[in-house]
Amino acid sequence: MLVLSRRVGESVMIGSNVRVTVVEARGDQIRLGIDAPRSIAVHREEVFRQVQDANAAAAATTDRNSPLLSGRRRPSQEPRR
Amino acid sequence: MTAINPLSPAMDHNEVTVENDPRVLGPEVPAEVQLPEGIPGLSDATVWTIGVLEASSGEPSVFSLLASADDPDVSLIVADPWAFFGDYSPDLPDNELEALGISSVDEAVIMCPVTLDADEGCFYLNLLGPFVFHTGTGLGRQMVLGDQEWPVRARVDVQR
Repeated sequence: MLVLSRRVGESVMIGSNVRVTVVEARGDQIRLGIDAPRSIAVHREEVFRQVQDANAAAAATTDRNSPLLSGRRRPSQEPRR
Repeated sequence: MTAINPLSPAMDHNEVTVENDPRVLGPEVPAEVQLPEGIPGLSDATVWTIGVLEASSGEPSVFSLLASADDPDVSLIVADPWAFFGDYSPDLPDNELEALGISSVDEAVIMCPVTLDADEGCFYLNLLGPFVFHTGTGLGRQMVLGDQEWPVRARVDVQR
């Protein structure tokens, strides 16, 4: 992994069109600003990993004949977490 | 951000029967769709087929199978989230919609990945990471709504 030191206000360019700027450093928390083309999605890694893991889990259960896919169903929780 | 809820609620949360509900028939997207970024954690494939699964009655169900065009064994079941969670109202990032060429709600089809759990007699919808497709072109991507409170595993119990 490439490791660079930057001060608050300084940036790193990734390719020619993604810029990551250190906005603030306070203790062990760093705030980053990211300028990227609108087509590039930026995510916190842990959230992205959750979705990756969920995709892998979903792909492991693709029985199209499962009885779970027909019949009466009842959401057991409110959709918001 | 664009709030999207085409089927807006009116659906009872406690018990939903969806098999023959005309509001929640399968996705109106081309049979072949493009996911230029692939499916994170699953495949980098960019061309996928999408087919509505039939309910036991033979009618189209709210479930579809999203399968890699190159390798049909790589697949996911996806579902219309509003068939189960009428209050679902994801804010889809405008820039990501723009990247798909979607300028109005009418042009978007949203489907959420489904994980079956036969032991528990339930399945889970991933409301945090919905697939969004352009109805006309089939261009899509999985959006990750990290700034919102939707669960990655929203449980739906099945009564047997």
